Amino acid sequence: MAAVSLLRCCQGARLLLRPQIVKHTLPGLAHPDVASRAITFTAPSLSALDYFRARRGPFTPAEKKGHHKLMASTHWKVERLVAIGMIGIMPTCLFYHAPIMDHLLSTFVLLHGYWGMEGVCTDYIEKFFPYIHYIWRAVTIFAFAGLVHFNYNDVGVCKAIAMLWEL
Amino acid sequence: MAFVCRHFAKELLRGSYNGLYTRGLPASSNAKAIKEMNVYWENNRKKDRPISPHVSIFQTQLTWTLSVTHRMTGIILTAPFIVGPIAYLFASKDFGTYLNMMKSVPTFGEPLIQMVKFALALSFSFHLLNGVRHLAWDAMYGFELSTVYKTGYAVLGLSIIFTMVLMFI
Repeated sequence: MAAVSLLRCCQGARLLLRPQIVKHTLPGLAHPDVASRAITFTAPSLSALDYFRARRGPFTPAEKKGHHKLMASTHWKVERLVAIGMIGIMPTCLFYHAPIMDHLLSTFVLLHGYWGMEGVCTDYIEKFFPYIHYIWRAVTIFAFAGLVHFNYNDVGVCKAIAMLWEL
Repeated sequence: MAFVCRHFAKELLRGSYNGLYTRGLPASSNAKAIKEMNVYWENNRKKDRPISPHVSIFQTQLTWTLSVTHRMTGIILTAPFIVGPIAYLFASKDFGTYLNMMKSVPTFGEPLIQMVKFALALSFSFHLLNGVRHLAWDAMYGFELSTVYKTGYAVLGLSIIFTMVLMFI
């Protein structure tokens, strides 16, 4: 069963390597005038591979519009608000150790660090490995889980940094 | 899934297309341009043509050195907040025990902790002060070149002072 689906995927690879043969058709229809003897693919079989295919950039205006939930300007404002909030949080963490400060510090630092490294990924890495964005988001979520676990079951980030500093 | 992995492996091993992903592009003019560009780069690589210097001849300026440093300090500061909690998820002892273990490494323990402290303090103060400079730019203050240079030098000096304050807290 798995071998059969693997073989079918391999057939798709041979077609994808020669894009002029593949014709994107309406769903469910085989294209009537494929000139070569290559196996025709209907759109449903291609659509799964479409999802994983890396594209170099948005081409059509609809693609460039994107699927955002926030306007870009609003997102920008949220980023600056987080940065300004961190300026206030940093000295407060030094002398006020409480669970709320642990949670605020971990949330704000990870958000700010996530957006920063997103810029690094976009500038340097995504041209070679486009899926870095998914990886970085997963790593950040994992790290946030670790921080919450740390705050709950261990001393908490504020106290931990104080312990590191007192050595 | 296996197809995706083999597809990537073939692409990487092949080394062509300049490492950029170009598969499955629509037949638009952008796609044709990218294919021409790849042919151009294949020729350049085959004939081993040199590239004119562009990065190495750019004059060292405070503007871009501080920007690069801002990004690097940001990465240095984010790394412990990412690696630490993930390592802690797999840890068996608590944080204080690990700190004492690192401190009690013979001859290197305490200087190592001090070096880590210094690196973090320097990165943190520079990133904080330059971040304030960035926020000032976002509020439309300080774009004249003379102001950029003045605030740049101020950030450099203040971050050194701030680091010393943090080290002796």
